[in-house]
Amino acid sequence: MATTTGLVQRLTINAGGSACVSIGPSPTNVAALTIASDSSDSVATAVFKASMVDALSSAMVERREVTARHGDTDSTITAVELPPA
Amino acid sequence: MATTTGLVQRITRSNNGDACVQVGSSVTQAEAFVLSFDSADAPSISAFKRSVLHLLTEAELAGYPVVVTHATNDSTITAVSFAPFDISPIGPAIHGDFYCVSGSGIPSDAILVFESDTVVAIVTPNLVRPHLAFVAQLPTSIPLGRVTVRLQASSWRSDAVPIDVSAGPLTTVRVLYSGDPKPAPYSIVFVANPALTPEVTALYADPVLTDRPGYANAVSYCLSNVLLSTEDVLRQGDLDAHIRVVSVFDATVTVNDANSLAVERMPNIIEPRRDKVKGFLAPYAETRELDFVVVLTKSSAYDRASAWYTSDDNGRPGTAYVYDGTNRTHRHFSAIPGTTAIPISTGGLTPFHEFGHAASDFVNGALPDLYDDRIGGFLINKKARARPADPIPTNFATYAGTTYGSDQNRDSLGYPSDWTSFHPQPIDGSRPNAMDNFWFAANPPDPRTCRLDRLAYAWLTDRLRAKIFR
Repeated sequence: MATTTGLVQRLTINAGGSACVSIGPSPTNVAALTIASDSSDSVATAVFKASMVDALSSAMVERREVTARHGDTDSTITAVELPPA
Repeated sequence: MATTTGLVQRITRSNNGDACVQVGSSVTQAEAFVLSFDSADAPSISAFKRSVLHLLTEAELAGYPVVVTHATNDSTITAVSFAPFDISPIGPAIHGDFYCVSGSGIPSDAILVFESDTVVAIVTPNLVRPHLAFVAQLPTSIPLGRVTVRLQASSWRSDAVPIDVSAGPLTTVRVLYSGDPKPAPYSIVFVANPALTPEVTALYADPVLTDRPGYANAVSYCLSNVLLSTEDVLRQGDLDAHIRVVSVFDATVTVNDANSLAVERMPNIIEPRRDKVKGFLAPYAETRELDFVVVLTKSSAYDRASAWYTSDDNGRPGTAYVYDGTNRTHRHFSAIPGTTAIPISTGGLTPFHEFGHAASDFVNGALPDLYDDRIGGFLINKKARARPADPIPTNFATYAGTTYGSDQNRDSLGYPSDWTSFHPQPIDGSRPNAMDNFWFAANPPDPRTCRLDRLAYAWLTDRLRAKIFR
């Protein structure tokens, strides 16, 4: 697994069940990562994925750094962490 | 599809499952949009619709504009995003704490403008780079509560970003710049030393932990020293825009051996305890790859900085190079990071000089002091003759296919008659080498105008690039 750390510079949420987030040190130096739901997701999985999106929203307005975990060659986020301040 | 951009003026949630969101420049100029929660929605859809509502709520509370996507002639929200800003405030705005704003193409004369409904406060950053404006301590003249912050220069002005300013508490871990968005950006960590280890008596609390302003000013001096001095090895090509910079100041830790990151050496040297830094920093989430750790101290009598070279991780990837016909490697990661202990009263070119040592390696190439005659190990920038009377060779070394000449004169200082060592050709022969005794700089008497030699510059550039772009 790989991690990408930085500030949330952009976040777009599609009501259809996906989100795209840009994480990086500045608005022009970012990595684009995604969170996508699946129609077969259980309630628990769907809520968990949405909670990661919510954490990214909160981190952006709080200007807090986040660490997103994802596959080495995969932009799909599997975990989100807000390090201690 | 159409988009509407504006501030979230009002969100109304109805128990029929609809949320009405008004977006616009003001309440009277707002457009109304709908987000409907349908009992037939799959769990994944319901959950993400809730996240859309969460984003809109956060935006309303923070004063952030949003971009709402909807079908033409349809008020149903299909997507929402925060409207982008062209700058990025980093971390919370707290009186007396560090404060940084990132961006791109920031002019060197940029200032920070904080604006509330009634007050405009101007702050001149302690350091400005094209990607970063750094303030050592946020002044108390900035009003508390909601303000906007923007960067402004003579012919440039950024977006204004809403922020909330507080009076405290000061942060323990402060990210000054997060570095490239990848798993292991090259990192520089400043840490306030919790405990000092004397050579003969019991360890004691480092006074730096009771001097937050002194610590902040020292971090500022160090950053300015390595990034804004005449020597540009760390800022050339905006290399520093890729580097992670973090500060750790924790006045609550126990005074014990594990937390002592510096030892006092007679007569006045303060030395980093290189084997302690990784363990100490781990609880602060700085568990990523460490490259350069600056331990800031306030020992009363031991005020001469020192450094240890990096111990590269020779079991991990590297970039090959050839020095005098021998195959060598710039390793990408460290087993033990380069470390330095620096008193908060530091001056001259000390931080850069110590960085030069710490950024090099015990085995893969070291940049030692040039102000003494000692030789040992694989040194990049110092060799020795058999006898002091022997002539200094014309050529010093061949690195990466380029032959570098020797410094016949030891720049402006001159070799003592009993020395056998000699150095590569300087970039600026009128001034001491940055790894030599920079305090002898004259005309102007400013050590910050000293530079490396040509070989060390080329070698360190390649080594830094190998690590930064690993």
